[in-house]
Amino acid sequence: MNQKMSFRLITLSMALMMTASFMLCDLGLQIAPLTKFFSVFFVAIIVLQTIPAGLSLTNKVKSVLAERRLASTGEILTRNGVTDMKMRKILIADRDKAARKQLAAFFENSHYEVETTASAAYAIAKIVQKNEPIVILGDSFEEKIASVDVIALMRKCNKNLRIILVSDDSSLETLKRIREDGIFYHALKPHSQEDNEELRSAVESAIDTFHPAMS
Amino acid sequence: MGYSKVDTIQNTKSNSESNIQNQSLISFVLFLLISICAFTFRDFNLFESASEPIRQILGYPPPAYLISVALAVYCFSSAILTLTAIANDTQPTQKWNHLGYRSVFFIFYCFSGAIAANFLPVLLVGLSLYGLDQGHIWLHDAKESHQSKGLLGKS
Repeated sequence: MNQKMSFRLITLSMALMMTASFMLCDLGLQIAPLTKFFSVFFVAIIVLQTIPAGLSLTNKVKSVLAERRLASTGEILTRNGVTDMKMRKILIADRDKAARKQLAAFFENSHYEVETTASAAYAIAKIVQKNEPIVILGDSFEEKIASVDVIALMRKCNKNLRIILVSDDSSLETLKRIREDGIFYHALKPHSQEDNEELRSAVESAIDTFHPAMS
Repeated sequence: MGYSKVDTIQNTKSNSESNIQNQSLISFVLFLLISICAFTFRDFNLFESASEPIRQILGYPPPAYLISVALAVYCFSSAILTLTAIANDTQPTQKWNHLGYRSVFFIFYCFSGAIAANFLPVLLVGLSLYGLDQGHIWLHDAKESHQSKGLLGKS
């Protein structure tokens, strides 16, 4: 928190210094310093507000269109035939934003309905609502709760849940605990396409085992 | 055991959310205070009242219509950002920089000598964006508490 705050303060002071030097230096453009300051302010609004707003609006429109397209299709073909969309839902819970995004992109490209969260509480709430049949868990969460504890809670909430743990922690104690709690698969963090394929196979297997439970 | 863990998670979440809500309200009160100051000095031209050497350093202020364009761009961008955050149900965060943006518009209008004519648009933009922010926080809180009630009921 303090590190984040000091980083922000340094960035702000650097931005102010650059603005002040821009205001005072003569670029031969015949622009008054006050107008230069205004232009810096305007550019800041464009860069920090308008561009992110445009990007998030585009993403939202894209996701709404994709949802509509999926809803109109209704069903998706898998290698085993026709499968209900509900069974191809995955929840990815991990604090590591980059890893979460990478996994989400991979599974979305593989025609899965992916939801991501950094919060273990949110993931558990989703499981209680029986919205997510398959969960891919990372090894840390927003709430600073260990993944082994989250697994135990999740299993209590939904016995049919298929949990895939993606963690580099392979200590004997952890492995023993997660095996006792009944996770579906434990994979090391993916670093290559092969690792991603391994995870996809695990998810496909989870769907295959889930099919009789759902029907 | 399950109850205590869920309870701890819930407490941590609600603490951070009430923190954000408090910060948002502080920011809102500060904006209102700045607006009251701006309204009090609405007939005051900051540029004309400055001494000649300072005026020479600052140069001419930007025209009022350009400031209004910037205000409109800022208003639409912020509204879109908040609305998409509401639609995506993302966790609300406190952004102190918005207090800066909203106050700097008053300063620019004050330099341009057009604060009397443009006070109301800045105030309305500020209030409506704070309203949107508060709406985002309330909606997120309502959803979170609804989810956690279900969660506690099950465990």
